[in-house]
Amino acid sequence: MCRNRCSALRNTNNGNKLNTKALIAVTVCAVLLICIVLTDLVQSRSEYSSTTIAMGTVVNFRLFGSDGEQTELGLKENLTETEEALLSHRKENSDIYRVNAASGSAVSVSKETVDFIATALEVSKKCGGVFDITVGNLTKLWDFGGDNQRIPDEEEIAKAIETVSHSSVKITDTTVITANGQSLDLGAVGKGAACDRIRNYLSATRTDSAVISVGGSLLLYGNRSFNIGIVNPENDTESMGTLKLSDTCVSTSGDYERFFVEGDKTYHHILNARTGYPAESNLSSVTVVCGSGTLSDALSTACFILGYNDSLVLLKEFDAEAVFVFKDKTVRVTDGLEKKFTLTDESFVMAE
Amino acid sequence: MKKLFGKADIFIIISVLVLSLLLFIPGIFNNNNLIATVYSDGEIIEEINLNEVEVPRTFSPKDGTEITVEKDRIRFSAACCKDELCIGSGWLSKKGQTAACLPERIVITIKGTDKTDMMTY
Repeated sequence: MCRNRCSALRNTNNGNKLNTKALIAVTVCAVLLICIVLTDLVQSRSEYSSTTIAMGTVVNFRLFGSDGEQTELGLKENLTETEEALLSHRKENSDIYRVNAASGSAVSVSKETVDFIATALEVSKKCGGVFDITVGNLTKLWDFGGDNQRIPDEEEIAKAIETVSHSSVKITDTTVITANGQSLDLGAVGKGAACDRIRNYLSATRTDSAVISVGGSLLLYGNRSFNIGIVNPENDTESMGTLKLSDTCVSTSGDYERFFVEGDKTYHHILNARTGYPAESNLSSVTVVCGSGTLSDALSTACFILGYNDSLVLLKEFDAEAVFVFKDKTVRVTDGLEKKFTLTDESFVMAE
Repeated sequence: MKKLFGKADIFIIISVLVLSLLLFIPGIFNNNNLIATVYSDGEIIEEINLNEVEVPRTFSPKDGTEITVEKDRIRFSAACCKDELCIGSGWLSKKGQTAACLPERIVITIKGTDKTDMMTY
């Protein structure tokens, strides 16, 4: 019956029918086009970005979704809490401060602090102790970026290094025990840990996607993919390459971040926990990509100290990827990032 | 076969294309301006369209800290701390660039993104 009607239609007005079809097609296309344009507009309008200082560093927020302003307020509080209640070794009442003040005995801390410490210890164990969160006494001696930064005496370093030993830190679900006189410094993982806490916080908000930088350690949240610039070690306002990534964490460790020059030698802030001195490395920076912020922070520091070859083994253990920038301006990328990395500064070259 | 599109169809197609282009245009214009935002303690204290700065000027958001603005660029020009990292950041003239004075909690950023959404360092 339908066939009859259709053929009847065709017979009566062939030209009109074609036009109706075309008209429908065009209208559908138009509606689709307008939808695409509108969603794009709405999406860009619903971006909320801001910059602040928290945890002693610059924090950039770019939030996509609803309630951006309100979410940002919550995030600022969250960061302050990370510093003051959990990780700072300077703020009295923080978990780490209390652990250090009572070294040798059990101190009850939050579950989160235990998790961050556990992750850091795991990396220490697997990298042969070149990265270690029990370096508190050492970092106090060097005091990079502080009022008393200086090259410590050899004896001072020898004495401080006696207290560096990740294996003497014992943890349970809610307590931490360090060795007597030992001092924890979670500075190397603090920003990444903050990223992990932020991810938890965001999951309870109306944020669809976000990219947040806590002093250069990044959280990429949600499905949206972002172009991440890796800083040019020679010029901190420019990037030397980009990574296209989503839903992950990114951390970079480099010798350009904090350093001082004495005589004709430069002393940068990444200490080899085994020697007590700044890591001797042919690397300018290592950028690590992995799901956990704490882990990517710890790994980027450990890899910078270890150098390229040993890093590959370590990264495999934790299922992490990395971009290595060498002092001779060559660049190496692990297999998983090969397709996501683009070199943008022509003065750098990919290593053969 | 008759022509696929009649005059009316072509008119519709063109008007849809023009309409969608029009929708895009505000975005294109906005994106071309260099807007510098100055934050103090996390609050925006000044927003400056760097493209429209005719006369260079210097202002002081807090005692001892000075910011200098010129056409198309902005920088910290005086600081009260000893390392003066913020001055070391130099002129900011591209989208996404940031300079900060941590002791005084003052941040300058240029809004928007150039090629990258965020920088890791």
